[in-house]
Amino acid sequence: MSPEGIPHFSREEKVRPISQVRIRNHVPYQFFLNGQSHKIIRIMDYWRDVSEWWRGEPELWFWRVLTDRQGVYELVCHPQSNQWWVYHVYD
Amino acid sequence: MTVVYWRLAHLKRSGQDQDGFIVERENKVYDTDPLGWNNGVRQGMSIQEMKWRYPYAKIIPWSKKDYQSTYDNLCQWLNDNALFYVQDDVQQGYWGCQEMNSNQWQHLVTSTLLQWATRSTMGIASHSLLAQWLAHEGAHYPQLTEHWTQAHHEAYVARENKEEELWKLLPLEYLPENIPEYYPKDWKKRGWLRVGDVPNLYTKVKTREFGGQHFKSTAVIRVEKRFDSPVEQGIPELVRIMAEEIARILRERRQGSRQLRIIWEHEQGDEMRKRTWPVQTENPQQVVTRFLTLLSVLPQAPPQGIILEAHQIEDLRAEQMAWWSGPVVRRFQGDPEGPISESRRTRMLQYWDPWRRGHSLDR
Repeated sequence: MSPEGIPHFSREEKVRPISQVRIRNHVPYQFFLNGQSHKIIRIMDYWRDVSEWWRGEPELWFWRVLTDRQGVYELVCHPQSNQWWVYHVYD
Repeated sequence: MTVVYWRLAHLKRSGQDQDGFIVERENKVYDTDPLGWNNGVRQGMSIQEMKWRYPYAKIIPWSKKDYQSTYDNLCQWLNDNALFYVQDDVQQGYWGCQEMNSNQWQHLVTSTLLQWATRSTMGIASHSLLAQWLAHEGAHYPQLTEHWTQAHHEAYVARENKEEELWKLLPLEYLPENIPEYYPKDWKKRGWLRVGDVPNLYTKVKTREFGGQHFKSTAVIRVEKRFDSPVEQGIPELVRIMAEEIARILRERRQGSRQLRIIWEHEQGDEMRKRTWPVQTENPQQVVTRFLTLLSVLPQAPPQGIILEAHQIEDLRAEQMAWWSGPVVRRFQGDPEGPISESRRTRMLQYWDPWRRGHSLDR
């Protein structure tokens, strides 16, 4: 069981922390991964996952984004702490 | 089979061409005029360095459109003449031909290359990695390479029967970037610098022929669906199913595609969405994903027909794709044969997210 309010990812979820995400009007527009800047040119999808709330896990927000390098990423955010991770890389 | 790797300079550019200039991109030299070249200015050098190397040059900021026409013409020529090519930027790339002797090379320079570049350095060998290295450092190995020159163009060519020796001298940093981080780190720790230092690597490198030698094709793979009445719902799901069919055909043919298109047919005419990726793929999940990215701008009217097309198809050797990969990497790339265990979130998403329905629910 994860401590109350702390995001928990299972072993299968290969998340990677993002050092910095820039937000405008509550929407991410740039993030930095491995020292590289990725400008978001399109938000392709957005959803929220209530997580395993019965275990005290917090809600997480997911963004599927297209970047200027033509990569498609899924970013996940823990809104309370403004922590961000890359959840999935498509190509 | 011969691979020519070239670095082109003093490229033809649109706009005012002036004497004494350096084109600057991200604080580095992108190109220069012949005088700059003669002064030792080379691509990739720091702009700060130019203060003493070429002090009276005018610094011109790089602009893609200045080189677009040269790039298009170059690619057109490659498309018509090369067996395969990789030319992501106008400045450098490599391409394949049946053979290249000194006379053919001289002809290439005078009849073709001078249209686009008045300076160039090339490496010529049987493999793109060797060719690239020779273009950079071939001058250091006169016993193993031939040196051809024509006007201001030069080529370092692997001598016959000397390629094996050259392979062993190839610096490890020339190996492709997709090698798992572990290997280069380990090699560095052991003080290994060249392919010949690493036990058995030479055989592996040579036989697997990795490094992106893809064979182009002008064929198009097409999957079509037409409906009696316009479709308003379930388009992502339809596209996913059709994209899987494209991926299946690509896999069967052991080919990958770089450019995907969706054509929407409706009463107001046809609409096309297309996108080109730097690396080709035949991986089902990636093909589906790439097609789905084309849905971000939907058609203006509900479609009565959907056509999915894969263009820029290139042969891809299976061993290239799974070159260094173990089971973990295969799973991450979404290989349906790989061992898969999924998280609660992924399992949930598979019920509504067409991006994730590629394989897990169908198995």
